Amino acid sequence: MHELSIAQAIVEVADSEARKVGATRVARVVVDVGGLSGIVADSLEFCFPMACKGTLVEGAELCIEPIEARGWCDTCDQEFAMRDLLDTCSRCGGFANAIRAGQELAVRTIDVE
Amino acid sequence: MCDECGCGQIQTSDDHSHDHGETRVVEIRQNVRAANDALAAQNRNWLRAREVAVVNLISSPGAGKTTLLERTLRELQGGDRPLAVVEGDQQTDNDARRIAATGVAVVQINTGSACHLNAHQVGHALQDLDPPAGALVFVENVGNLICPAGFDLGQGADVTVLSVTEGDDKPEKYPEAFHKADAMVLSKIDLLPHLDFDVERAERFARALNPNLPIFRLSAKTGDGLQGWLDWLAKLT
Repeated sequence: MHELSIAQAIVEVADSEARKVGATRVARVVVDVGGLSGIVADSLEFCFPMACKGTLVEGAELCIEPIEARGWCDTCDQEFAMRDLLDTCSRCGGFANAIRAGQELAVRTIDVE
Repeated sequence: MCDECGCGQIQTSDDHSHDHGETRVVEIRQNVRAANDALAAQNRNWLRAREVAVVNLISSPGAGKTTLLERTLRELQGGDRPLAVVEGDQQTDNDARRIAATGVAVVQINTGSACHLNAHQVGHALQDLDPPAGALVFVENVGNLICPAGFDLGQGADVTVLSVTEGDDKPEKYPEAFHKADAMVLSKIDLLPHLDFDVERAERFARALNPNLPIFRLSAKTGDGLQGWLDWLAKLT
């Protein structure tokens, strides 16, 4: 359940950015979550309201934008979709030599009032 | 035009925000782990300036991290390298007391409800420990094979400990801890004759996730296989 620490970090970012632009309330937080970021969307949604208490983000909607994970195969010189770290190249069946996308965990935008 | 939401409004302010009816959208694009990563980078710089090496031990609860640490410290004591330990647990100072019994300096962190250490806690613990130049510091993370893998502490090396009393499919089930490890310890090998643990399978999947992963099969109890681990530690700077 490290999603609680992650939810707190998201709220800290959203709250401080909202204050910077003189907002009084955050209505929505859009978060990019990569398929290999180690974050379970359900758990994050569950923890988010607790983390929001007493901040400008209290009552905000959390919108999770999933980002597809992509591995790179040196042998076939191609990218392939991954759902987990053991997914293999669609052509040769080898394991990924590098992760090209999917480890993202970022606050993309906030809607403020 | 705002390419974020496609609303067609012209952005006029530097903060990239614009009115959106009652609300306005502010673009942020900030890594959620940035605050922890910045503190981890601070720890790393501090350690580098002192030429202190830090090893972060990750495993499930009960894999034998503390026993491995006790044995490792006893083997390394009396050498030319100063040693120190940061212990992480949700509750109690049981492990810190076990380490203190070896005579090595130790600081206990209790994380309360948190399931992993973070760079802030470890930064303070390192300052309390005040390790001398050239020291080797072990951080024993909270027993948990999932969460600690996601939080940089400023360590130089990650070691994932897997005991043979667990399932041999642990690397498949919890890939992140093996994917990011700099070394793996397969612990409690003295118990292998009593178990169905498939060493080959566990190591095959660990190396599928991390092709050049050094793996040390050892028993902290009997000392079998310990030398390779100690030699690897000796090379850490």
